[in-house]
Amino acid sequence: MDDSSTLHVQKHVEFIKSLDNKKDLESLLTEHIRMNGAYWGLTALDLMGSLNDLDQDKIISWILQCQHDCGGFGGNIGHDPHILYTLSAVQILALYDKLAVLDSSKIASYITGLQQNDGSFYGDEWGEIDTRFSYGAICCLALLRRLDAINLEKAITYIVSCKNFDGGFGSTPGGESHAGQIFCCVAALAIAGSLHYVDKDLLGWWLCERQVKSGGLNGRPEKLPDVCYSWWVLSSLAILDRVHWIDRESLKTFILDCQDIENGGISDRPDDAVDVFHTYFGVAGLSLLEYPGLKHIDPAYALPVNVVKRVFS
Amino acid sequence: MHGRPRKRGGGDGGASEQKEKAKIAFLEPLQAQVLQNHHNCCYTKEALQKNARLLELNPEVNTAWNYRKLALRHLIASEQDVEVHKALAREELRVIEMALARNYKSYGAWHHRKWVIGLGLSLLENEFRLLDKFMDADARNFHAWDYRRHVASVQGAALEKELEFTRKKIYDNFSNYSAWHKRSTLLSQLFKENGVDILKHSTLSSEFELVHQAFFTEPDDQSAWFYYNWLLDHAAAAPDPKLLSTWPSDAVLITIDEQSEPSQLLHFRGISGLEETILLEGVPIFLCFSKPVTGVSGLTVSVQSVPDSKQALHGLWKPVANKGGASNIWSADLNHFTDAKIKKRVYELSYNVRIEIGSTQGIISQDGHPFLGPVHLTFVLRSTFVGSYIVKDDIHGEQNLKIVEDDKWEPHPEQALAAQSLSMLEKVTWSEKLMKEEIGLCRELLELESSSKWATLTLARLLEVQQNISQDKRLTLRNNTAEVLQLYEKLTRIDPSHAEYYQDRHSLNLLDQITSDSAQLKERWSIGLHGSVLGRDIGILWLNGLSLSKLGYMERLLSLQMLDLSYNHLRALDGLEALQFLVHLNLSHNLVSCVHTLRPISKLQRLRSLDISHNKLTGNSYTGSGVSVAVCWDLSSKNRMATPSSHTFEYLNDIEDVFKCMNLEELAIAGNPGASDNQFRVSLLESLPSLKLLDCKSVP
Ligand SMILES: [Zn+2]
Repeated sequence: MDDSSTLHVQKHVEFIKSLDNKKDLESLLTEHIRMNGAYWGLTALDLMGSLNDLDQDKIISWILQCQHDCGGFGGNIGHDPHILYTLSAVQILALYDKLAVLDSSKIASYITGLQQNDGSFYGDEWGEIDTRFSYGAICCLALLRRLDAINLEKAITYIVSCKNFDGGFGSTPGGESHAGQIFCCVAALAIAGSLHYVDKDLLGWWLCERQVKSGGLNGRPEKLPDVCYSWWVLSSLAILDRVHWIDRESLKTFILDCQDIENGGISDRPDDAVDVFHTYFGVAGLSLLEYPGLKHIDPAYALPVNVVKRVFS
Repeated sequence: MHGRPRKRGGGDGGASEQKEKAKIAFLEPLQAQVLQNHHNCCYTKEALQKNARLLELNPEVNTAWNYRKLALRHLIASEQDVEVHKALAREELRVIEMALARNYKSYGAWHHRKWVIGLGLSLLENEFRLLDKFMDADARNFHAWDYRRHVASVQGAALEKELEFTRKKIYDNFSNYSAWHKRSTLLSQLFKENGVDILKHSTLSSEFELVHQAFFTEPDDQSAWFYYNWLLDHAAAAPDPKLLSTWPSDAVLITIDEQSEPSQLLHFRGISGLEETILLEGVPIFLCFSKPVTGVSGLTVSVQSVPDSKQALHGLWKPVANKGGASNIWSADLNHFTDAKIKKRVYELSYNVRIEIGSTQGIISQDGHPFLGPVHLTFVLRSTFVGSYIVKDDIHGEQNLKIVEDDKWEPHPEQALAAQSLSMLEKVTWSEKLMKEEIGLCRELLELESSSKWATLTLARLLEVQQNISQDKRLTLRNNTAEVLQLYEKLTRIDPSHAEYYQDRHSLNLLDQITSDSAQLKERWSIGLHGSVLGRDIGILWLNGLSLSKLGYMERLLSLQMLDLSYNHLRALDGLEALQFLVHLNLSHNLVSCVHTLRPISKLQRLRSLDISHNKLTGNSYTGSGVSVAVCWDLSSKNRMATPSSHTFEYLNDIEDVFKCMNLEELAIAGNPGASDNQFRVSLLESLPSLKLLDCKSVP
């Protein structure tokens, strides 16, 4: 099986599991975003049918230690709260079907406090504004079934104000379209039932033009392809119902070519160093491409479809 | 995490490993110390230096930036001297520059800079100098562009200055998409501030010149082509919503045969040009706009019927497909004007109905552009009654009885909907001239680069735009469509990875051609062949076997009652909701997968017979409409039947969701995954009690 024409599921599972106790420079440098890392790793494990390979109780107790009195979560114990880590924490608990351990009103009031008059969201108390945080707020509250806690109409208006000439979305009004930002805006609008604000044909065309000759996807015109865009671009296309506008087979090949078939994990481009971020996005991209044996992922909530169905059942 | 080469083999205990160990040994206690100082609110010089050292090595640690803000706030509060404050701010900017030198994509560092600048202790001019440095290093750095926008807005920089900056960046490198993007935002702002067409025309003309230089230099570079596409949109059409079609259309005569009270049989000239009949319980009006609008109401649309003008409408205007209060299609019902029963056993009564759309301002597209009305349409309703029921007192008199000569009411489609004002005419002329020139240029480029995908696609777009804005649409259409269809076929060949995108465009053009040509419609039309499903003969339009992958121009077929779309490649059904008179729809042998793709069908209140057999229906996961199950969280999840455990049955619930408000009598669903299963069929029948025929078998 020394080839990259198939997904080496077991290797990737082992790679993700090995991160749990790793003490190398990489894990030290990313200590502050461990909550994101845990979400990426655990979601990838769940898509590969191995969520229970790690100690659930230990993880949940660690997550709860990252919560602050204000309701928000930090990226790790001792780090300041931020909406992005709060979203990851909630997503992980959804994976484990343990949303009940959370005080959802407390989290909701944290997020409510971050919304501004124009509908935008601060990432934390320090005032950075970005549509990534709009997604964080909307996705998180939807999972907690507390969308009533914010002014959703204004939140939508703000996201729409970030729409560009190419149909894409930027971080703030006037910001350049970028596939990651587009995912955040399109997914947030989808969750809010407001996809009619998206010019699906225009944006879909721009997104499908992200595919380069190698089959991989880039995040902006004239940029290099990268596995993480398999997720950002593909999930957006899936929400817009236009996945068929790209060549799925060559994308699949590109992602598989980025596997480290020796030690597991997936990298940004072939023969680069692997990390949990790209491993997750590679697996999630393959899931959207209906790779056999993987669970289906929901393109808006970035969680397995069965998890989302369970939350809303 | 990006662009680092993969290490081969296991650890060898070599020099690089030693180096990593040393780094860990330095970094680990440093991170711990910085966090500890943060928790203890320790803002000494030494603590700040430690923090700076960490950020210089790892600028991504957000909490460390938060600490610096708290520290700075504390130090400023404990010191009166403004010069000291300024020095503190300078030190912050220095630390940020060190961090950005490590990673110029650090969100935390850039935001900290905004925050520090926001204190008003630093010179903004220095910021432009720093930005020049970053832009020289990477002209696509969107953090730098974002920061530049921020500083420019704080400073109140002139629009022209920023426009000039983008021009310079574009001339440096035509592939600088960031600069093209920025230019689009600046021009949009300019157009918004000076809504004068003259300015817009001259500005657009010089923009076209700029793009020509770019794509003649780098024809394979997509940046300029995307910008060109946007310019084209601006030049071709004003963004205001247009009225595309109505039912009844302007200047038609509709004869109402009231024998079948309370339903009425309406006779009118249908899309084939032949007379058709439709059985209705009233006379509805439909207005189709080019984009979703709000504000359609009794205030903005006046409806008068002469002679009976007391209360022309029954009820309110309603959106047909509600998109957050907005809709492309709005409907209302005319008052049943035979309420006033006349003391005649046999009578004939004619009413002129005059509608003014946009009589007052208030119809606004979802993206904020007002409808530039008013548009008028007038049609005649002639009611005949040859019955024997007892009629009540006479309200109206003999004077209301009028006979209108038939030949006076030839249909004149699109007459009222053509150019709506003089200024628009001028604009059309300007645009038409422009399109001609641009098409010429594009052909020139294609002669040099015959296999250029971008030039080919752009030529197709230009020809599409030309036929849309043309004064003599029919003529241009005949000339252009054949070429456009060929261009998309060529694109499918030279750029196969986007084949399905080009096929969608191909489908739209094909439908444009068919639906705007009454001869073609007549050819695809037949009556009676399909039997008289509902007790009378109605015509059917055959759009089967055309390789259609996408629908469009349905608003031109408003009066359609039967439609055959079988044996196409349809995945999505957006637009079908316009066919409000549809009673029979054949979608068999298409590629519909997610049940939620069927949602437009649920808006078709008169639909009785649906053939969706031999598609690929699956559950309501991401695969179809993209609207994931959870996206539809607002849809009722109550009243669900117990979900059968088998995966293939998952879409039963979703089918129920889609069809529950309809009165389907006939459904064909065979040839979809799991649809032959007996349990599936039993559950389906339970959830759709109106069904009389399932896959051609009578329902017991
Ligand atoms: Zn990446």
